[in-house]
Amino acid sequence: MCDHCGCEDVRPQTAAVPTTIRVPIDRDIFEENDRRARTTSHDLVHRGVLAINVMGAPGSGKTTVIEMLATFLGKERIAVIQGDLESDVDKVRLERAGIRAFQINTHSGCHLNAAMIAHALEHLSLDGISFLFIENVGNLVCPAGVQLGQHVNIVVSSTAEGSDKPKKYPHIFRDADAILISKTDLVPYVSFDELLFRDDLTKIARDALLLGLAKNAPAELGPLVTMLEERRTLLTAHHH
Amino acid sequence: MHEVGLSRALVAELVATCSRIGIVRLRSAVVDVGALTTYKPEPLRHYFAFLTQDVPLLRDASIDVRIVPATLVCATCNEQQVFAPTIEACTRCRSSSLRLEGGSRVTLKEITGETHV
Repeated sequence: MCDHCGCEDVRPQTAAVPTTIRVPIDRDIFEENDRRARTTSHDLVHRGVLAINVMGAPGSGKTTVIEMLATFLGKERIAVIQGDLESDVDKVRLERAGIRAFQINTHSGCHLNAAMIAHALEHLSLDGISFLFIENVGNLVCPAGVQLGQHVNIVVSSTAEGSDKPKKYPHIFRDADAILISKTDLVPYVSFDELLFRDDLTKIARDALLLGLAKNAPAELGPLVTMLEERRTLLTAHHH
Repeated sequence: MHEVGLSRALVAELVATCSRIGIVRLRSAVVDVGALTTYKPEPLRHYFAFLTQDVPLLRDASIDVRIVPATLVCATCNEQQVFAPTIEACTRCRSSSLRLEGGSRVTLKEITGETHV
């Protein structure tokens, strides 16, 4: 007799049997990141803001470059999203220089991503801002190719790092719109072959703007300032 | 450390995909990794195993990581060759007008798992 309702049906109860299935997926793991990045990029253009992703090794001079660019572009026209594993040292430094900044600490994360930028933009006012600099985590490997919503990629590589960086880390240089060789005033004291550096770059980033930059010579950034202003004008014109 | 972020994204994607399909225990997943992303199979497998220790749905699942090369396509003669950073010209016609295709994505291609019927 059936235990459940008392009827005469005595067929055995069937337990769930696991079945193994194979399913084709074909889904991009970074689809969600890239979707967020496109939304951010579009929103920034709509607000007349050009976003610049600044990448380079720790100590290459990324924050210094942003400070120098601020003197040309106007401190009141720029904002900075600052990415570091820990601390707000560079954010405080930028704010002391009169530049609006927001700190992201990635802790174990080796690069920024689109969700982090979207979060930062919920807290960073862009009123009156024309240029948003995103200073990525100091790293020549991980930030390469990660979409944040940026319109321009800048790579800063210092003479103290040596002239073999384009050869060793080609991926980060390949997508660069501008490459800055920083700390050129150290050339007498370090081993740096500028011809070799430039020759390697012509093989992987031939269209990038390439500039040398000494500590107290901000005028060398003139062509980059022009490029950023032109890019912003173009983007805004296309939007309107 | 480079592979930590990708491993987290992969775990999230697999949990969502298995739930959608009705898989209650994942056995394996095939992941295509573009050569230009610089992600490496061994650390990816290591972090994946670490991150899935406390995820019953994915625990003990294996991942098959396949590296997908990038291709240089000649705009003049359409010759294709596997990308290398030092290649400056087409091997067939010597044109320097080369287009880079593929090798920059990470794609979940296939999953195998158990479902109850």
